[in-house]
Amino acid sequence: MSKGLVLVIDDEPQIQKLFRVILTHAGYDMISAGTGKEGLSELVYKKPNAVLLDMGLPDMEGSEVLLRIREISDVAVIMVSVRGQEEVKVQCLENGADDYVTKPFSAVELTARLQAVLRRKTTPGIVDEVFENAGLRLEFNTRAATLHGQPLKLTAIEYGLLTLFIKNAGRVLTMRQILRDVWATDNDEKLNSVRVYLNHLRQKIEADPAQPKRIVNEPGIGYRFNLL
Amino acid sequence: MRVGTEQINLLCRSNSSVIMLNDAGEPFFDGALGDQISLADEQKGLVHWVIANKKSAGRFSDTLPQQPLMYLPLISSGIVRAVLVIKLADNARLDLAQRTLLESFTALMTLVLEKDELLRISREARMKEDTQKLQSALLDNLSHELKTPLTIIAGYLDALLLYHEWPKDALELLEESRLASLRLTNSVDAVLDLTKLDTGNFKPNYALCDVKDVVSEAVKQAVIGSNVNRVKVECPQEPLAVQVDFYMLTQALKNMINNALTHGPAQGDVDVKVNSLNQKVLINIIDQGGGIPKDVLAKIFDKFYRGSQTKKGGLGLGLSISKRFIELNNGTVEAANLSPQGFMMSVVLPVIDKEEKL
Repeated sequence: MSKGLVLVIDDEPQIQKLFRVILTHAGYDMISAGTGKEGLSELVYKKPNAVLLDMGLPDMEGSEVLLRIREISDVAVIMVSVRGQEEVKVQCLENGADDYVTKPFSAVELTARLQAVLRRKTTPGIVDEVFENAGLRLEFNTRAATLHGQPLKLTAIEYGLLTLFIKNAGRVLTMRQILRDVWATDNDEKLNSVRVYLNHLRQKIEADPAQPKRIVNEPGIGYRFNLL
Repeated sequence: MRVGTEQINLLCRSNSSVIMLNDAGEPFFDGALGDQISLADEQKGLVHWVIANKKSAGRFSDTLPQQPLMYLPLISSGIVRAVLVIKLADNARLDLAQRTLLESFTALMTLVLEKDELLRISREARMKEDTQKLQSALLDNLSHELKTPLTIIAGYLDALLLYHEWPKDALELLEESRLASLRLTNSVDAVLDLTKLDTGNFKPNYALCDVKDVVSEAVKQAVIGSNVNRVKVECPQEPLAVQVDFYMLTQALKNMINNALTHGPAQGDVDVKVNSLNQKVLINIIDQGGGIPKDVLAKIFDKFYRGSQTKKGGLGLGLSISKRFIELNNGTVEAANLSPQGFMMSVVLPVIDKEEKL
């Protein structure tokens, strides 16, 4: 059975072929488009589960295609970029991209990321107002949190961070997105607080805070909450 | 300017010339506009005095009024742009109306000069911008043209290794090829980075980062293949915030770690130690190799420098890129031999206030 339909928007036939080899072996079906325009129409008619979107397309920038996609669809989008385009990556994540891979990417990395974003889209994050994953349990009505049955004492900010992450499990959140959601500010000077409070949260919910598995760092970009 | 001097000559029955200043602020005597008035050395000295003091000198002024010539500075935005030299007939007198007119003329001439200057500056800026845009577009294109085939080669090799069974000898060849494609990617990155640096197309994109994140990413990128367990990292527990371009600093450290892995003993450890002291963060990268001779210690951060005992390949670009990236991020880098054994490179970066109030 197919794990889902993936739309690849990239103008290089050989890169498309590479994606096809990797995706087919990982159990996905794939359709492809060579331009942004074509990609958008494929999106509308074929309704894929995920989109792999190249940053540079012949007719428009990948970031522009992303904005158009987000006007019409909540589909999982992974940007495909080259190294050193950090600002553009951050911009795309803030505009609604779920994740990114950097060329040259490995098959393992690509399928892991694809699986993570699809998991978010297919599992409704919050069932019965309770979140539960690998021993971490959160009741949204009562704000009660437990780890392996032991109650967790979370401050208001830590609780805010954790719920934001849970709602966006599998997705990369930029520092600024976190700041805006939890602190309700655009003040860049507060960015370091995000880091400090995340560290506090990690101390409480990670088995080994020095080797975090749930809240992992996306270097230079932000953080991602993984379901274990 | 010539028209200006002619008008002044008509007004005052004089000879006059305008001495322009070059970019360094020095008077350009040979290229004076208007009448040619030859100046003796002491008169040239007076022109210098006018420029330095931004005041008029010579006849009808407070400074050396006994001099036969008038020296008037043309000043705009507080800078002397040129000096107007007027030679009047010996018995000439200037009445009030003439003086007022003369002042108006000099004001007008100053405006003309200022307009020329602004035009020149904006033209230069536009040219520079156009060149940069073109270079940046060419570099993007170059990067795309180099990276796309590399992605295909590395990706196909990856797929061949992952999805197919191979006899042992073929497997070895494929794995070697995959490692080579990764090395080539690194070299391409280095050359592109250096080109961008040299053409001024590398603008740092500063963001608050935790040094630990940068270090662990650099280590991750540096260890490919057989080096996985050779790098030992020591970091303090608390986050150390620095204001840096994440990509640049990662590349800088990656190159330095690579260097340590290459020049240290074949299976020797490389230690990466992070410490904070006095609002600074110190990153030491230490290998157990024999170090390098004192006289070339200063050269290792030079472009294309390669040690005389350098065993394998390498472009000699890595450390020079490291140095420039670190300096663009307000840091410093040094190298030293350790006694009795080992070699250490140290990076120092300013730390941003750790815990701030909310």
